[in-house]
Amino acid sequence: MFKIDRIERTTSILLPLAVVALFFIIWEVGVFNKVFDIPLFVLPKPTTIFAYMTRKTSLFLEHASITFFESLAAFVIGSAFGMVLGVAIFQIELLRETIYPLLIMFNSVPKSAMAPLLIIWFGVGQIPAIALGAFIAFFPVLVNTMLGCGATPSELMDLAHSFKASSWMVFYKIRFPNALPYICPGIRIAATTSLVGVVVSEIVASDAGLGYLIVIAQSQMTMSLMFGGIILLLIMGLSFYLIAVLLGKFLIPWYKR
Amino acid sequence: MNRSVLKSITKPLAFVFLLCVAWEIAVKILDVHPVLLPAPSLIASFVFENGLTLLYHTSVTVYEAIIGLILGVSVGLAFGIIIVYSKVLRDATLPLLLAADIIPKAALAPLLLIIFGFGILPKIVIVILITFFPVVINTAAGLASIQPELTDLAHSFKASGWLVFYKIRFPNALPYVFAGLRIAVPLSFVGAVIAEFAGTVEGIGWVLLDAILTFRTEQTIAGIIFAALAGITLFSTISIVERKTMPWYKEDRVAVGVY
Repeated sequence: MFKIDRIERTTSILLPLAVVALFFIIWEVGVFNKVFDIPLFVLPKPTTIFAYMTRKTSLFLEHASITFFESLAAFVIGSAFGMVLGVAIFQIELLRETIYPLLIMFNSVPKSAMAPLLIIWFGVGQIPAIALGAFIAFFPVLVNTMLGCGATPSELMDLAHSFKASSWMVFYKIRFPNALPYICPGIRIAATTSLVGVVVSEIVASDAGLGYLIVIAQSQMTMSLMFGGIILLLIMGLSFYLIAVLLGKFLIPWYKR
Repeated sequence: MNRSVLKSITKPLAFVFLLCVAWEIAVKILDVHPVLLPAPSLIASFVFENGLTLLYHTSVTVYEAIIGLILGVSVGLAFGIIIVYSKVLRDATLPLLLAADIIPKAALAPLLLIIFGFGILPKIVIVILITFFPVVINTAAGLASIQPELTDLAHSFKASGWLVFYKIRFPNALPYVFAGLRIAVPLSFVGAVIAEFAGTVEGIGWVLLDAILTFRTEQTIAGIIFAALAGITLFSTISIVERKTMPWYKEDRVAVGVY
């Protein structure tokens, strides 16, 4: 039994890796170029891209670090605002009746459409990218915080009231910990989507960052540069997600999905 | 029912109205330059004069979104069903699908533009890429989440595999499928807009980009309003379809990540 388990686990790790390897081999051999009739200067081989990336490491690192810090700032600002406002809106009845439905509605609005307006307001640079990323990160955290605060089991509230707990105590000891299983998925969404916001803003107009590199590569047709930027963004997206998952494990170690 | 709906929207509407009035007064008193922040009246008159053009460009983007959505969702559903029945395929692709769902597909827009040109095709491909993954993942998760008692019961009645799928597995998976659709539907429109940002000659993305170049902020805000209305309409449509399809299901409306 144990042995079968181990075999299963290794295959479940090896199979996807094999698929990825196969994909790169097919790409390297030039099957995509043949089948889709794409010339090599539009779709270079993985080895060419890799060689380009090693040659231009400092360029890629410089722009990757800009995008990284922009999305980190966007994520922290957006989710902090989302959490604080989510709690405030839940606690204040007037806000709950007026802006809560609007914010729920706003969550399904395409926030990326704000990119040009933010660029008009803040000029070309890092700030509109951070602003858009923060705006995007804000909503899932806000909505889930409000939902989480509302999901406290009434037995716990009754218990707290019967012990004459202060409203601060109720919030700190009961409401907020109970809201965390809602807030953490919101934070996971915020971590990955804030990066998207930053990249979209950089694609619309910017002077630095991986989105900027990709747009420059588009206009110059330097495809290795473009693929390098895309690959780094993919890695960054995955690492942000993993960090958010670990953050969730740290915040709610007791919670099992 | 209608009365309660009316009652629940009066306060938010009053809030929006007051906000617009305050905005108008603030712009007038502080003499804000219209490039920085146009007054609501200026935006309204812009929408009034160019309503048809704005509607045309919105419909272009909605068209791209819906074509991509139909393709992405149908392929996603089919693939989700396939990987539930094939263990090898599931083991080989599910981790990759999960990873692909997370990565920022927006970064691919300039690449697709080079490969497919300035037309409608790169937009549709981006929309497919954005809508496909949440649908596959949720469909597969939903189909796999079946309670063994139900399938055991079906087997004891000698139900065919098709019958088990049609009567038990699929209805059971519907809440998951709709969870995927609630992500995919609003994102389809966003995906089309982002693809347009990378290069286009029409669509709401063009309206927004053209406004930066001509310094017409009222056009930007009008474009954002139309994009918002399209996004809200698409999301409400899928929510209504969801409620009609599974009236028995009371869901927890957690946030979806719409960027």
